[in-house]
Amino acid sequence: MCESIALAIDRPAVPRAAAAELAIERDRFDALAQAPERLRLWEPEPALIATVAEAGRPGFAQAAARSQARGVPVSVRPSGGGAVCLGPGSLVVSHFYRSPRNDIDGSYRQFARLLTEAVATLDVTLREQHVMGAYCDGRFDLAWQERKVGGIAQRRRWREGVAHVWIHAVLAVEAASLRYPEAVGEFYADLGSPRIADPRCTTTLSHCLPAQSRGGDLMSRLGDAIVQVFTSNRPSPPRSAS
Amino acid sequence: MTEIRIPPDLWEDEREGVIVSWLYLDGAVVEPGKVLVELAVEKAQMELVAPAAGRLTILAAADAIVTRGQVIGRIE
Repeated sequence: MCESIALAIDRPAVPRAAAAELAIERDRFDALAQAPERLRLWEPEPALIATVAEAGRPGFAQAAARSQARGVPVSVRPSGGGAVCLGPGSLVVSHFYRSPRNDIDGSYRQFARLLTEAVATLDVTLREQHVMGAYCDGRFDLAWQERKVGGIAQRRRWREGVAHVWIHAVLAVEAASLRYPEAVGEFYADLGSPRIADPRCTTTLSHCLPAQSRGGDLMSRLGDAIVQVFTSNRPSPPRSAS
Repeated sequence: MTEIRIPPDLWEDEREGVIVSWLYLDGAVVEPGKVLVELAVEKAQMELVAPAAGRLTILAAADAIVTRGQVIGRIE
């Protein structure tokens, strides 16, 4: 899977400002040449995360100011796709690693598989599916009954035969995150963008849970499951010569 | 002369990518290992670094549609 053996895990206990967390994650990505593989899970404060391409559009500053006035500050992330809105009730999962393979699709499939395995421990079956019309839609959306629960994007650097990978997902966990796609739609309207973010194309993990799996702190249970799955999917350590 | 080529195995099919931006101007002198260009495909944004030192010639400008394996610049 990855060339490193150790897996460092960052898991802040309280919701964090997305702009500050993205700054930390940029640093983690830039340090990947010397750093261990790392998994980060954090619950964000309300924020709209646009892409670099969106930030370069005329009218971005005004659209960002309007979003801020609605209580949703705008940050920019260096991965592809489109804007996402997140906040309490959503979970950001970021994975940083080096790989000898420069394979975008392989990274997507691996990350999607691990997240799907983790969610399956809660008795919910997600599948990779392009949910057209959802916010930041793409081929590796994680969907339940045709509706998007999570999306994945990535940032890569190819240097001296090694791919540095920062792949991340936003998962809509609690019901509170149902309203976030509307903020993306309002942002696009202000930006004059033709992209859409139809709230009817999304759902939350809490909505998908069968009755026997409800109860307890879903965010914590999901985080524990993700850590468990990523930890148990480690490459075997090299055998020492003897 | 060294080509700046999108790795042919970077993605798996005939999807198209787009040049997001060049970090150096056409004709600039670049150093090996410096990030030259950013491109995007399928919600992934990638950096390509300079494979050699020399003067940069840009063959695919920002916003150009590109395919895997395509030569997008050269260094002389």
